[in-house]
Amino acid sequence: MITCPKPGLNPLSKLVLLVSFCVLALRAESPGQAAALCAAVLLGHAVTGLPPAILWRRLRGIAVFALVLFLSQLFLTGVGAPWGVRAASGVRMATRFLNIILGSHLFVSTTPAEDLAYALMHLGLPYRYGFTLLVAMRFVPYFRLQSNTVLQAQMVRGIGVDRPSLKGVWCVARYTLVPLVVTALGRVESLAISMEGRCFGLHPRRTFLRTVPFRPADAVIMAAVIAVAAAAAAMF
Amino acid sequence: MRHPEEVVRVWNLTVRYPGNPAPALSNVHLRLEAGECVIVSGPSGCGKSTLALCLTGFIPHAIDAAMTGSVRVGGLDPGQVGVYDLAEFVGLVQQDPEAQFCTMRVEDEIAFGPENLLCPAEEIARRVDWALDAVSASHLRRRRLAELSGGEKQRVALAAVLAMRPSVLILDEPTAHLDPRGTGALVRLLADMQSQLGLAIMILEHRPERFFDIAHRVVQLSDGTVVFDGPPREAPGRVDGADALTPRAWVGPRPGTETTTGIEPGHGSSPRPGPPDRGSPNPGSLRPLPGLSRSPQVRAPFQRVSAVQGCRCCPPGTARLRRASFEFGARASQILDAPSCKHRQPQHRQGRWRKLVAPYLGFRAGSRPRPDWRPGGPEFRPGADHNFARPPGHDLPPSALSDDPRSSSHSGSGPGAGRSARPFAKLARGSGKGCARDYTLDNPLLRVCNLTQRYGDRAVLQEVSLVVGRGEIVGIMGDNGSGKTTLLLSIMGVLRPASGRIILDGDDITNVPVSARARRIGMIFQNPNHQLFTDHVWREVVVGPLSRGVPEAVCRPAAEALLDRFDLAAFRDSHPLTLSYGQKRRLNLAAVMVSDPSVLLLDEPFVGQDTARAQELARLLGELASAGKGILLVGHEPDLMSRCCDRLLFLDGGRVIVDAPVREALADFERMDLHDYLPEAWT
Amino acid sequence: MASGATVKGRRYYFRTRDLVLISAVSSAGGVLSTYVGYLGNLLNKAFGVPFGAGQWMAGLHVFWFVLVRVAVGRTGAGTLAGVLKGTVEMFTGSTHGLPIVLISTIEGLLVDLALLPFTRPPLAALCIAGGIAAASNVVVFQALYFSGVSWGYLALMILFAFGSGIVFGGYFADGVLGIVEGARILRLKPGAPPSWAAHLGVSGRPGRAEHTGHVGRARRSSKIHLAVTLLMGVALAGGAVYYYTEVFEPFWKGPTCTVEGKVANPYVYRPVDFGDEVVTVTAELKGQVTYRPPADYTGVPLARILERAHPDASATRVRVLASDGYEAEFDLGDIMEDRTLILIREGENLRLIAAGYEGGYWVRMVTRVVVQ
Repeated sequence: MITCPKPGLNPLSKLVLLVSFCVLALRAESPGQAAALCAAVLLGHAVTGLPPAILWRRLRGIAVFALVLFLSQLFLTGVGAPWGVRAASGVRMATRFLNIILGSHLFVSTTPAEDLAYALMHLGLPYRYGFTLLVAMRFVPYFRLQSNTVLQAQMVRGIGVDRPSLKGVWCVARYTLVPLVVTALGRVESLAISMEGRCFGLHPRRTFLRTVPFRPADAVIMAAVIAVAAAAAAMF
Repeated sequence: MRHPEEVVRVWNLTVRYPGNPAPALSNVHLRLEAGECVIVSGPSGCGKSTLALCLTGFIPHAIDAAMTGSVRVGGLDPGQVGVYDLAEFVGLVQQDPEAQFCTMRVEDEIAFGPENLLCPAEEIARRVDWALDAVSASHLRRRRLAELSGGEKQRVALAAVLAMRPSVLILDEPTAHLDPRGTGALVRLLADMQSQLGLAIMILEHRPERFFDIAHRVVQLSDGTVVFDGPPREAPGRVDGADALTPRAWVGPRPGTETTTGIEPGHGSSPRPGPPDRGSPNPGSLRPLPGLSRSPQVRAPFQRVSAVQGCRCCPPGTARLRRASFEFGARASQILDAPSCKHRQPQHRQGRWRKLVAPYLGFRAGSRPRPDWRPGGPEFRPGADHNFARPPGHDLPPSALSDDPRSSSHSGSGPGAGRSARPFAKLARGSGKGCARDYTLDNPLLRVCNLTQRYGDRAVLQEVSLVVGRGEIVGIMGDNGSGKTTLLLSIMGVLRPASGRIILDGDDITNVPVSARARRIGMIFQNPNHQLFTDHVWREVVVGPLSRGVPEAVCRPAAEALLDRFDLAAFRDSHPLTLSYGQKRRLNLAAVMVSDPSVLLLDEPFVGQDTARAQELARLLGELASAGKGILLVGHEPDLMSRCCDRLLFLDGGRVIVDAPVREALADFERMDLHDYLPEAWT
Repeated sequence: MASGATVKGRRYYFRTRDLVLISAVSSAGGVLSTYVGYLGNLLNKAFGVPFGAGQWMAGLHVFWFVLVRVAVGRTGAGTLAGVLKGTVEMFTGSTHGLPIVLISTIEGLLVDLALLPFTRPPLAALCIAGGIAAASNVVVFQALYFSGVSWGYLALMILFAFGSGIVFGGYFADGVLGIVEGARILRLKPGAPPSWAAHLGVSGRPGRAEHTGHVGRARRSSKIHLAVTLLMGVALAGGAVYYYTEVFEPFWKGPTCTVEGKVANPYVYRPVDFGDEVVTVTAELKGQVTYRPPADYTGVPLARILERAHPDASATRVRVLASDGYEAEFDLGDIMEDRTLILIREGENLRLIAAGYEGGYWVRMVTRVVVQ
């Protein structure tokens, strides 16, 4: 029997944590509340051992977008309102965005998708649906490779968007999507045959070699997180 | 002589797909017995995959097709029982292993089937252990599937099916995505599995010669009909008009290479033998076989569990499998109780048939096997004689779009000018560093100098140098991941090299953007579907020039000539994706050639193509070379590559370790123990 | 796929073939979302704006759901594809994090809802489904990350997204399905159409059946196609008439705000309904930052607006909220006695003129008046 490779929280606990965090981030009104949440999620990143440099490299685009969000709130919305109000609104939206993204990033960096799928199936999600997530994630590296190849094939034919225009983008989008769709659909038959050829769907339930343990600590953390999030949301 | 059980019986099977008047299979008769290995061969579209789908029950249950006749698999009628009922009896490994994985890790993938059967976790773990052991892949257990090589993926796909404990294993084009080394390893693995597990194996393969060493019979399909059913020895001579088995020149085995035991008669007109005996002299002393419960209906022919054991006369590598166990009932017991290990192999396992079939894969018409291939042999001259002749009079279309006036002067001096001019003034074998890179060309078309390419910290190409002359076809071989595709992409400009120079016709194009290079270099990728972008064949041919601002009127003559030349004029208004595979390949070529590039880069164009299609493509390449084009060709097929190319390069870990004319390169391959890259005829 | 046919007594709503198809297409959509974003940025560049023009690409995000829904032929396929595509995007580093799952799921759900009556939807239905689903992303993003964006700008974005959805989600998806049909890529049988759909007789384009494997199934006659198309057109036209007569608020009727909370008669305030009750006051804005000299403002007293709502006797406070989240709170008693607090129309918005109060109580873009 095998277990989730990384000991730690059950993926479902992390998911509940993430959802609760996002609810709080949406409810946070004052810059102080938002900053507190931001600090919490950064602490979470620190605990997982992700080097700040790598975190910054991954998220600097997000930071730029948060800045754009702030500026748009400052200059484009609330025209006529005092600058302080606009700035507060900008800070609120930018930190809301940052908090949600940082929280999601922490979740994704510590939770393999397959663990989440297996955890959901262990929880009771019908396995045929649980496997859709596994299959979708399974295809990701393949489609990345295929899309790269398609784009390279366009490049070598001299097809590209030198001067962006609606027509040019339309054409390039078509040239990219059609081969990818054909590739994706071309995979359906062989995988479906492979899965049914190994009795996928024979029984309404199935057994699992892989287990994703749900420890008492998970239950405690989950209950605590929900309680804190509900209380905080009510207070906010 | 024992008469083994019949595990598959197909009688008068006819299958028709809706909307297609021609049957995919027509009155097919076929038998497969326990422990037997049968190759079902034939060109693409001849019905091989349809046969597999019938045997596994997907036809008629999952795929719309009208099926008549009788099929029995382990006594079950696929038309009556479902896919699931058959799944524990017959396992299908499809062409692309990547396409049949549904989990992320090796262990999960192999456990997938037993999990669906509601096996307890302990039983699943046992099966996973056993299946990995059976395919010699226990070390892969904890790996992620995305990290595996093609050969490793193929092993995992096999193990995933074996974990279902089938009695019949069907492999559909199992070598299509493997490099020669992987192909060789697979053949050896199947030989081991067959001898140790007593599985009935059916291999659907359009290039059957790769499996002749382990096969008992070859069944040749042509247009859905069985045209030959017999032992491999008889195959080439008995099949008329079937490209895949028709030798270019049948020459008997070299004297002294044939053993005295003779060859088993086949199933065709000869008296039918039993499958080879796979007995083990010492049953019972190895690990007991994991239990396997089957429905009584399925279990019928296989009554009891047996055990297998090591064997004194086999190499250590094969003893490993003997530890594996498998429920195979009475038949398995018979198989495993045979007196001597060597009798568990088909008699032609000993290599006789490798020699015997070599000629039909001959290097050139009328050639003899190896002796004439040796360096210095009287008939072989690099590039001088190719089986895929470059016929005179095949002018390429007018180079309407050529930006470079020199290209017409180089290539326009008449058909075959480039070749007849023999651009190699001096063809010297390289020395030092084991790399032959010191060719001197009077006027090379493409020169790559010390090209280094990195992905992050990893050097994918290390100081690669090569030259391509006008009218020359240079083949690049090497294991998967050795940097072949990266080299082509670097030359094309899609990837920026870390260092090195690329000189095209005297111009340094190292820093020229890819869009500009596309006018002088054409590249064709492995999968034709990835390069078909538009809605019409005509549009597909001209879309490149149009994107670069060339008016359609300018490229029209060249495009029309190319469509005519490549037999695509009738499909001018068709959607490219509705074309056949071979037509798509030709369309790819036409779409690139419309810009009249002087150099063509082709990345594994022969993958997934049967012999006829591959020959057709190779012939086209020969014609293009005759018109003065320089061609750099990445490929895995030793036979095709050695026949199609003037020169061969071998990449290993991003370095060129062989660069020589074909004959000398093959000698190098042999000297460097790259036997999997040698053509059958050479070995 | 074969489940229903091969396992006696067991039929699944989605067969294995359907589930794999949904997974594969969702995965491709998730992987390509980055590329779609890149195309959107190209358009932003082409139009010279930092963001917004990318909504022309919004239809490419819902294209996958329309594709899946038609190829599978079952309601729910779009939603499942939405969940999967969003999850794939999140796990592959989407810049939107968890909300992308929400956005994607809503898009898939809307495709399902829009195509609910159809087993094999006609092109017009695909276009509408694609348009609605694509437009939804603007609304969700607005709810999550923006506040106070002018309705005009929002409407423009929705229009862009809707148009993109029609083009990419409908027309383009239809073309791709045609290609798939022509190339006969999908050979496996799909799930059978829901029985209620068969009873309704709703159908789609001739020929589409074949690519999804519906070969041999009863092809609807052209008369039925025509009838269904006409029915759909009538339904759409009826919906449009109802919307424009009963729901739609034309811009010429001016801005509105809701009066709600502890009131007996919550309602939507429109300046035109109080045309004869306007007053003019002279007020001076003294803010911490902003100052406006005394000027005349004409509008409807807030007290009069509240009177029509009949506040509860227990109510004591009034909150005036703006679309950007800004708000000001007043004592109800003070308001009811003060006829100088007026709501005036300022362009497409309402503004509270709080004469005698400091600048912070002058609320722009008023959307709600809440009695507490």
